Amino acid sequence: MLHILLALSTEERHGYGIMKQVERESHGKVKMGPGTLYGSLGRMMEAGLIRESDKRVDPAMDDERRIYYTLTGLGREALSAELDRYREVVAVANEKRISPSAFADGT
Amino acid sequence: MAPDRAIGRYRRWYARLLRLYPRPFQDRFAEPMAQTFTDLCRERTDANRGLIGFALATFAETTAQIMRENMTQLMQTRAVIRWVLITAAVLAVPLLAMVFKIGVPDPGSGTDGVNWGPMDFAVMGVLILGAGLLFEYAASRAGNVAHKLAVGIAVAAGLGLIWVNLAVGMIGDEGNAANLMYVVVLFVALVGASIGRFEPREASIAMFATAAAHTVVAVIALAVGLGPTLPADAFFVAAWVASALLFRQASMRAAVASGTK
Repeated sequence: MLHILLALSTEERHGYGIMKQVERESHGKVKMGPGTLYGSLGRMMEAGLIRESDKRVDPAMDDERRIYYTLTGLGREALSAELDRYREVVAVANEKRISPSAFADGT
Repeated sequence: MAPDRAIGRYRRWYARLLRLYPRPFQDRFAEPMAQTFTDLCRERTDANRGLIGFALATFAETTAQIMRENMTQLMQTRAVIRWVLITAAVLAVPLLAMVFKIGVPDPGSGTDGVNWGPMDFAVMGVLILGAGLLFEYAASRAGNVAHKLAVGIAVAAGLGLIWVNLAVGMIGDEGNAANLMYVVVLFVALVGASIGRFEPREASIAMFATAAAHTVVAVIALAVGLGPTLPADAFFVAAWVASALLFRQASMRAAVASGTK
């Protein structure tokens, strides 16, 4: 859900656009199928985090009209709150001088 | 096969799969999901990568999500609670009969009273609850009363057939392996209705096929001298046919309502 909020933070996107943006931003680590993506979009719409925007043609793709999704005010607040939470967690880890490689040897 | 033709074919199959989503989800997302699936297919063909493995993986992923959405919808309704209560009420009958030693003859156990073990209660509980939830799922797709009635009769007949076979057996007793032939009847009903996505026209054909399969099983049992219980077989065949006729009526009503007849 956080990945989708992030993907929509800069501009509104259609389903395929969200998928590709999430894949790019996670450096290929997060890949969603259409079932997972639209299930998440449905729950996020119910929660008021995103909404459907207009239906239009993506000039970079074919001539099919696509539904675009955009963040709502609540979605922006949720993204901001979640990023703050992550920053705080990372700050605590930094204070403890814990680096990502600290437990690489399994100890 | 040309990529566009292959993509078009996979998209049609995918669109059919999407019809298994709950109606509100389907109305909202079926079209964009089919578009996204097509976009992903194009991305693969542009990169000269095969489609079959990708399509199968996506179908499996989407099927898992379809099950999740349908379960979520069922849990949101009161259907699960209702069927848990119905199951408990039905199971309370043999339980009370055992506790108060009410003398109801039980030919299955060969005793004068009900004598169920924990496994009997577990199996019956799963059967009733499963049949109830199957009814709720299929009935939620029904557009009219005839459709709901058809689903109810079909599910009740299926449950009854399993129940009778586990309790006393349609052929001989419950331990007679010939009763496994009735698995084919249930298979035809369930797979036929599922392939038709519980749509009335397809379900009608599936129920007629089930009635035919049941008749064939009874005739085989009669022909090889297994001693089938013909009145019981006739009852179940009548139930399958009644369900089929109601599905057909539901299909005709739906066609009239949509003005396509």
